[in-house]
Amino acid sequence: MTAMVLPGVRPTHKAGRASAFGLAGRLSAAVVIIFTVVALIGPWVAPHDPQAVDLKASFWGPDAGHLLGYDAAGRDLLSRLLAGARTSFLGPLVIVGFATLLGSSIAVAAAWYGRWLDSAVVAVLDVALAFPGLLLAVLTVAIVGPGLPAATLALGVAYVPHMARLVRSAALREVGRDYVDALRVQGLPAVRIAVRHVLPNIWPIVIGQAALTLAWATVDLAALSYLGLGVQPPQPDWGVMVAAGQSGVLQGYPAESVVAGVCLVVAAGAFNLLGQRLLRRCEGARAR
Amino acid sequence: MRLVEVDRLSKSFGDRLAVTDVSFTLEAGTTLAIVGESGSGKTTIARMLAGLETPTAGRIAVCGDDRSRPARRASERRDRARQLQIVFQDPYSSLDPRQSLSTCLDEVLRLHHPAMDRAARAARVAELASLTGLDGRQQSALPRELSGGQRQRVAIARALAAEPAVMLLDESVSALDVSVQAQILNLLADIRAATGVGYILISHDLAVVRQLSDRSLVLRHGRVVEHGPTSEVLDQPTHPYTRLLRDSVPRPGRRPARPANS
Amino acid sequence: MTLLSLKALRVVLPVGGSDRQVLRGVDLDIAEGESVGLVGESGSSKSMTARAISRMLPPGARVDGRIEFDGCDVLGLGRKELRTYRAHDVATVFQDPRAALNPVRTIGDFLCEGLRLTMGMPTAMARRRAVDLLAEVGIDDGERRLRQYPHQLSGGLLQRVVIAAALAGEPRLLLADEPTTALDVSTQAEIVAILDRLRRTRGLALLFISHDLDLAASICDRTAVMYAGEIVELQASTELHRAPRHPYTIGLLGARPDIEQALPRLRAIPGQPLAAFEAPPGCAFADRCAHCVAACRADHPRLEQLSTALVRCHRAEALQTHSPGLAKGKVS
Repeated sequence: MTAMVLPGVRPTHKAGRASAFGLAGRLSAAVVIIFTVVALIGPWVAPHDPQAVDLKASFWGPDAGHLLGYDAAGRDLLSRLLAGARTSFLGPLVIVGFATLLGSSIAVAAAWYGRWLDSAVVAVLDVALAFPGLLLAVLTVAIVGPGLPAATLALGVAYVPHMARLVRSAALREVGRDYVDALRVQGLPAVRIAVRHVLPNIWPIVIGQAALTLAWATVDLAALSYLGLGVQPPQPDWGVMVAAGQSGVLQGYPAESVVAGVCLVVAAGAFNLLGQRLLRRCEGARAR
Repeated sequence: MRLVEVDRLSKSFGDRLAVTDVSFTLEAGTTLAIVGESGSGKTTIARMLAGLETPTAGRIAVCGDDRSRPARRASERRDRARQLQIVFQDPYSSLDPRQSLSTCLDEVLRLHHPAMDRAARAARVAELASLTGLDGRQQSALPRELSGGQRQRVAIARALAAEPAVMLLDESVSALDVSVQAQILNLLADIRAATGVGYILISHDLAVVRQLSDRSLVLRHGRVVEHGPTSEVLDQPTHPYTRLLRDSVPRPGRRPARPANS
Repeated sequence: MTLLSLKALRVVLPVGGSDRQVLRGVDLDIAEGESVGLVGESGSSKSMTARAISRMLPPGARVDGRIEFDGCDVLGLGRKELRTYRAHDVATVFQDPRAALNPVRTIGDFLCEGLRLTMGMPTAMARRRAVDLLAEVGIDDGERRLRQYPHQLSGGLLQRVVIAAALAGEPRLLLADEPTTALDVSTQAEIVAILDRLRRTRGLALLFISHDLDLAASICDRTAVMYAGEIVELQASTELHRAPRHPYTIGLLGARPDIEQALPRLRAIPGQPLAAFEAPPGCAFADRCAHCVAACRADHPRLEQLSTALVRCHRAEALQTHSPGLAKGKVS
């Protein structure tokens, strides 16, 4: 009987914080930093022109000066990978930046004003969440026409509901805390309380969710490019490379698809782990 | 001087009546206690006085200004802030976890005194800190580095920063340890003597009510069941509910013998 | 006859990689049918004492010393014996009854499950027994209550249900950990009256944990005052109020506002309550004490007999000769 009234034993928050990040978290943070640097300087450190075609070298394996070998058109794979990092890695950053900004603004506004606005936002979010983001993006691109800007915008919009839903629940909890009421009684303008007090306190959760979303965005943008709806060939991009490498896979030269695919998986995995660790740390810090 | 005038105040949430026909006044330099248990409507009254809820019916005036309707202009909100401030129960949720006492007070001072320069604000922060018994190290400490009692001092300092005529103490000492509670009760009495501020003390603790208040109002299910000088309300309660509350207070050597009825 | 005996009980919890002492040597006996109050402020580890007794400490906790229940070594119990111990010997009631009940299951499910599992009763019999148990805690319409869900009951009623559940295994000791703190004053009086009656009718021993000296005194034969993970004073409840010996007890009694009269000034104890792990080598209360001398900081005082009381204070004997008014502590 007494066992039923046993309260759940959870680790104290300090212990939770120390173990929450761990080796995997630090490793994924390092991967994200390395990839970001590569994305920024990739085109300049690429050993060769990623667009330079040399049909004689088609499907050649690695040799001196060409560490990963050549693709079907005889272009240097390493150079294309480095140059492709820009769209493959920074594209998702733009997408998530957009979704985070719009999503958290909507969420904080809904949590702050409550009543009809909150009900309306929740209803719209529920409907929007019923559609898979990628499908929505495919439809949008199909209407607007393919290309990186359209794909980025479409995915950005598609992620807004995910972001908004999580941030709203965090913001609701924060708005319900007494200090928000105390500041209202002090006569502080609502916008100031929301931006200077509520948002900074839920910021870690926003960042954690953004990192998770980055993982999806990396895969989804690559998928759009793979389908020919995103980045257009011959511009180097990991999604494009996976698609372009397909003919090579059939002929027994899988290098192009594999290296691009591995980069995508590593990037998505790192974002995912990092996001989870960040969110777990927030939860640990809250459970005091 | 009449600081607060509440006349036939009512509030309903949907078809549930939280507060019905409550009237009271508060004079400068005195304390009115609003006594009640959970569901008595005492917190709803506090939130209406603070402008966090809008009354369904009735009138609230603080310092002669009507505040039955939400403030529309920013200047009106600031004026109301200087009339009435609130100190909440839970010292853990009533402070922004990212703000130290200094930054918190500085923000409030900038809002209410735009003409004050940085040095003048710092001087006022130090003054408020010493008034509430906080030392220099505690001024720059984040809330998580402070104890419950120290946080409650910060919350009181924040309320005082607006130099309000009325302070609303919403169960402000009930979450504190007994030894610290006495410090805060003494501090509140000192502040009242020094500044002439009027208190509205929301509490379920009759001993605290006795210690700090001049007049008391006993609420049950949103209605006033007894209202008068605290000594009379506690010594000669006329309403059976007040007597029940009075008799429920534990005392050493007196076996609890209330019939257990469900 | 001693039912429960704690001997030099020490508990260390791992917190963020380092060890934190929460109990610094607690000695306490509870006789059969006796009610003992355990009173302290935050950080005193009064709840940890109860958790140690019911062997419900967080994982990684290291326990030192002895816990004996009816002559049997509690710390040495195996998994199966421990289950029997918790089901039939010691029951616990916590502060928040809502946390103890599953919101999607009825009161009947909650009560009967325990009866079926621990007492091996068939369902129909368990329901009849549950109704009896509810009647025992002052709930007359038990049949109807068994069909209700936790959210349909007030906090006071839920706490009675939890107490009824605690009685299901016919325990001999009830640990009540701040059982009324989350409740209204008038409900608190009811719950305390029920606990008091139960222990008389059933001969149940009670360890009543509270932050309120007056409340503990109203139902406990003896009261132990805890500070920073150890007992600083232990004596009969009425005596504790009439002639407190430890400066901390004196301070606590003096700090509380008086329901009978407004005082010109409360005798507050300066400073903050200390947690057990923050305690200095000497007396833990030294920094807040008006009677502190050099010896208080140098030596850790032992719990010693002083007339009818056990007191952990170097100065207790010297202070005893003063008038009680003098011993009331600093005014801050």
